[in-house]
Amino acid sequence: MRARLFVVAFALLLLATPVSAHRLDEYLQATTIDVEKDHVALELRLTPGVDVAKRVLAGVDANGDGIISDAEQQAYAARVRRNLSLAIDGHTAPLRLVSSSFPSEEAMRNGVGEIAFVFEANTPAGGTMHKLTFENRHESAVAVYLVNALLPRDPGVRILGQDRTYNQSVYHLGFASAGSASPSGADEASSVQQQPNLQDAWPIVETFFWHGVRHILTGYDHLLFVSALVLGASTLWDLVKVVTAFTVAHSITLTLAALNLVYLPEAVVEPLIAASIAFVAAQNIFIPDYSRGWIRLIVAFLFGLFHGLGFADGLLDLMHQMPREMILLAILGFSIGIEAGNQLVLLSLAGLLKAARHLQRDAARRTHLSTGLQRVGSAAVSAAGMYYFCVALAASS
Amino acid sequence: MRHARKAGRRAMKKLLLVLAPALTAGAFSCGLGGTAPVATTVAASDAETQAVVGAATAFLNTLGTDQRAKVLFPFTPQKTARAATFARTGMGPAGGFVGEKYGDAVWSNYPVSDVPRPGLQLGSLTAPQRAAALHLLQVLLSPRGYQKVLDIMGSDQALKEAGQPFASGRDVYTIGIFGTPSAGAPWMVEFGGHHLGLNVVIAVGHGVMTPTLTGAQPSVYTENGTTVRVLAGENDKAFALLDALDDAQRKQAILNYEVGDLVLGPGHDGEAIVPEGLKASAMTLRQRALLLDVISEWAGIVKDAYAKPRMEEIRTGLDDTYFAWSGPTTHAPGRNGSSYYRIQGPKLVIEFSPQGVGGDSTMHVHTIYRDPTNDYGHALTIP
Repeated sequence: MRARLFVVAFALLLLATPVSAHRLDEYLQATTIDVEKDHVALELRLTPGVDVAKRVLAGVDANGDGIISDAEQQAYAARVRRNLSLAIDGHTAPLRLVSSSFPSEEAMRNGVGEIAFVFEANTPAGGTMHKLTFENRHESAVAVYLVNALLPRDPGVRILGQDRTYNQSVYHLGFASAGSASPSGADEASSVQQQPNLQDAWPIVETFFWHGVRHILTGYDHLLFVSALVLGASTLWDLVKVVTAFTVAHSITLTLAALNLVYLPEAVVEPLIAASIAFVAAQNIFIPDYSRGWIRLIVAFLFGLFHGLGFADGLLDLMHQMPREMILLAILGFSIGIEAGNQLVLLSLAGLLKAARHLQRDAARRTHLSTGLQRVGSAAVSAAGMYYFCVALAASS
Repeated sequence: MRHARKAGRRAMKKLLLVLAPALTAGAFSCGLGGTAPVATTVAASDAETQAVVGAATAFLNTLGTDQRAKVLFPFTPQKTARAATFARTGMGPAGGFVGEKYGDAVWSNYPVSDVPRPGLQLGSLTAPQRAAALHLLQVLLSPRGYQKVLDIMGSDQALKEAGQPFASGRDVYTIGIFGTPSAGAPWMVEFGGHHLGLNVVIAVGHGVMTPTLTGAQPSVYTENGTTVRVLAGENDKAFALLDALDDAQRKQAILNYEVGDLVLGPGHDGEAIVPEGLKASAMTLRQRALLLDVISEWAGIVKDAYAKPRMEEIRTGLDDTYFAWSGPTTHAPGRNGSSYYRIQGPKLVIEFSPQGVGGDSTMHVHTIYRDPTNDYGHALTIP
């Protein structure tokens, strides 16, 4: 039995052992992006595998004389540049060729040569937050692309986030730079990093404000919970108190989680958030007395803690590698955004409910309608909550 | 009915009273990150370094004058390996190759026929000379590190026996000594071939093993009836860490793009990229232990006296160390996976990059181990 296994294993090995060992039919194109205060430098290192080297070489050594002349180097650099595009803040940023190096024709033919280019582009003046988009289309049929931002050497430059398509041909980079280039020493620059000035702070808060708004408006679970709170509240004052309790609670856990001080797995948070919806909506129906007053405040606060962890999940997705001193600004912006989104839904829903209640002039009928609306609405919200609870449980099991 | 409603309210009240403290306690007790102990790195004792110096000197003493001239090179400390390879303006000189050059030392993930390594090939040595060379490695490395080197060479031997148009096999692994072996002035041992670029700088009581490249092709081979899976620990321990992560952590760790090759392979000395993935400060104590265990597969190649202070240094920076993954989250039993991963900390870069080139990526892998702050021991050799 053992012997047979070895025979099978050996046969598998023979099948699996490739005939050659290094990059063959691919054209490795690795780009690093170095962000400086007033410009970005792109270094491209291009390594054609031995099976595509001939094709690449034909494009470089255009006259086929076995020598890569200066003119041919320049022509190839120009071709590569045409296959690249760089945009900063939505505007095309022209690339300047700063330097290049070519291997010998023989090294290239053998698949061990590396072509390198450095291009530079200016960062537009004004504004401290920038979005860069880089696209490489060079020899896309055989290319293996790699793109990475270098850790900024200038302490006044901060990388906010990177995003790529699956094959890395399109790359997005968010970065912040503290004002224009300053010739003074590192002391000044490092103090900029320690203490982001107001000019820096606002764009960060603003960016994360919109992320917060988007997060709440696309997050059905939080909206359902807020709807259940609105349906349970009988007066505007009730609603204000309950929403404040919810806000305080989720702000606490959002901050703690974003600072990595508290952590609960998604498998726990998601079902709890779904359960909170069903629970509060069911309270509205079965024990309406508990849907206001201090009990509702406690419920809104307790569940708010878990919603905060859910918000943090959305924020943490955006905060990869954010410098420490910027996290608080991001949390602030994100929280305000969440609140704005909350209020948008909450006030319009409360307004609609009020308008519906006032359709009835008769006081007794109005109460009846109000209770009816509360029950039907809450039943729907509760059912949705239970459905999402089951979905969350199934996903986490 | 009213009675039932009252009972319901009482039950709800009780539920709330129980839920309140339980939920709050649960939320705040889970996943409080551990703090890393503050460590200072202590150099190995003189005796440990003397043993390495003794083994290196013994190897050199077995050699003839011609051989010594071929194996000995000056050790010239420089800040990074690539300083001289790149012209800053205009059209540069011929340059750009697939290896890394530090002074006279050269290593690569390419076969020695493509990128010749400086020094003496094992195949050119007599039996006692070869034994002395391997003994130097045995003294310089930990038992498991030495075994790893033998397995990598064994894999290349299997590749050679399958018939290759390029130089492969144990005989073409090359040793070079840079500087004079001593416990005083810095010197370096370089040993490597197709899938190995081992660089160890001995300086002020430290044995710095960065940068080092390991790899395998085929990753599984059979020798004398025994199946060997090369770099199995690097693969299996990383999968163990990935398996120990929960959904939210995986979401952070798993990159949404493909990584087709090493990002910081040969020729990328001195580069520091923006880290990505899951930060170890967001890991539980068990997950952090698993991460250190993965790292030890590289940091523990060198002998324990040198590996210990290095692991302390890595542990100190663990909070700021990231784990990033790209590719499938499972692998076939007894085989390495086809997924790329990277571990990056303040003083550490590790990449594990299965190579799809011309075959099965589970059978061919390149890995790199660097310390951007101290590659080639430059932090110790350049004041």
